[in-house]
Amino acid sequence: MKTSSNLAITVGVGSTIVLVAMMSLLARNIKASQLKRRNEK
Amino acid sequence: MIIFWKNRIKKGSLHDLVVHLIPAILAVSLFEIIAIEVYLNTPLQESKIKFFVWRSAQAVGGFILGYLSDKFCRKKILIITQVLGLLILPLILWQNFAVFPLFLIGFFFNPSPVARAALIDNFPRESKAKLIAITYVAQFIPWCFYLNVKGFTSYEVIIAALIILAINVTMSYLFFEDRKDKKSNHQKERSQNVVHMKRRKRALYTLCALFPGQLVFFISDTFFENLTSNAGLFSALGIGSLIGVVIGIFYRKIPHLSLLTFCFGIGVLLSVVPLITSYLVPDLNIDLPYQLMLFSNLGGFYLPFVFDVVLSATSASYRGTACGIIDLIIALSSIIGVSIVILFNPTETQILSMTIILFLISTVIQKKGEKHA
Repeated sequence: MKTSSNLAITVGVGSTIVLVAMMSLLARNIKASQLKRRNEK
Repeated sequence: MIIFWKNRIKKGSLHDLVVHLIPAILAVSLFEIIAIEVYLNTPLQESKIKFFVWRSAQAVGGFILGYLSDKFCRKKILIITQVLGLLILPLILWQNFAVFPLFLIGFFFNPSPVARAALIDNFPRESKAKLIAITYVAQFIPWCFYLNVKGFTSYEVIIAALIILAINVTMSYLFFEDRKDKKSNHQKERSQNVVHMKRRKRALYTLCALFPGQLVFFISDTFFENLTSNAGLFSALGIGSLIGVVIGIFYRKIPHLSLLTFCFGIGVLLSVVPLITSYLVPDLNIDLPYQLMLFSNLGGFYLPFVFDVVLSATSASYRGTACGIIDLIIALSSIIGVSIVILFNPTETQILSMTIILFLISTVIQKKGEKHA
């Protein structure tokens, strides 16, 4: 049984893009949440 | 699209990425690359003892490191586990994946529970399910490149892992921060209960339901390995889990505990239909690999929600331990799953019957847990 290496790589690269985008959004949001926390204090 | 993302990512983001995310995420991916190399160099048919030693060490090591990160300092434990990885990896190469270095690497290089707990500490306003899903995406991505990794020698892969690990250790030491470590009232916080009493039961039921659910996954893994035609099928299983967890990433949090019951219930349905079909139409062959890949998809999807339920019930001071316990359950289910296939050598019909029973047990336990939601 053969499996497609190209498809695996495509899914891997696609998921890496999703991962990087998610991490970037989190990094962007952390500043806002830090500010909110400071204000709450 | 590019402009959209440029606008979304502010100037300070790169610093925040390095300080809060990359060292933890990279450690999880590296751990999995080494796991692939161990998997390739210790085929189950040749070295059952190596598999059991490696997984048992992982089960205990993950739990202990998670606990230590709660008790002392997440940053320190994250650095120590990576430094130990740096020291043990050359030993693995030198001793050609012998049992003792495998035990050492399994026990001491286990950053996943610490990394998960650190991420939740650092992003208290983000959903736990999303953060855990992110760590699982990082964990499953290397399996997409399994066939490519297979093309390199162990020496090349381990040396590359060592270099990246050395960079990550430096980055963790210089930049990584954990919000819990910085809290001055840490001592005071430790006197809190380990679990929130109100949510204790549902977390307990969820952990109990996870065990048979994961058992299905590992029974299918081992069954794949025993197939003579498995040429690289494992990467397809990893991709199945990855697709599941990528879908899970878009949920803010678990909508309701019944989502987990539904997932286990779908597992039952996915197993019942081919079993009935095989009796109704005996000439039709069951395509079990195809069937079992659907389970990996399901497993990837529900895993972050399991963490969400358990971590929501756990005190902030014991997140590392909670992540360690879940990893312990997953590792134990892999040990038992592999043992079942090795001892009983089941047929395809028996595998499907087992998956029906196991998913049914998970569904019933999870349904009982819903009463405490």
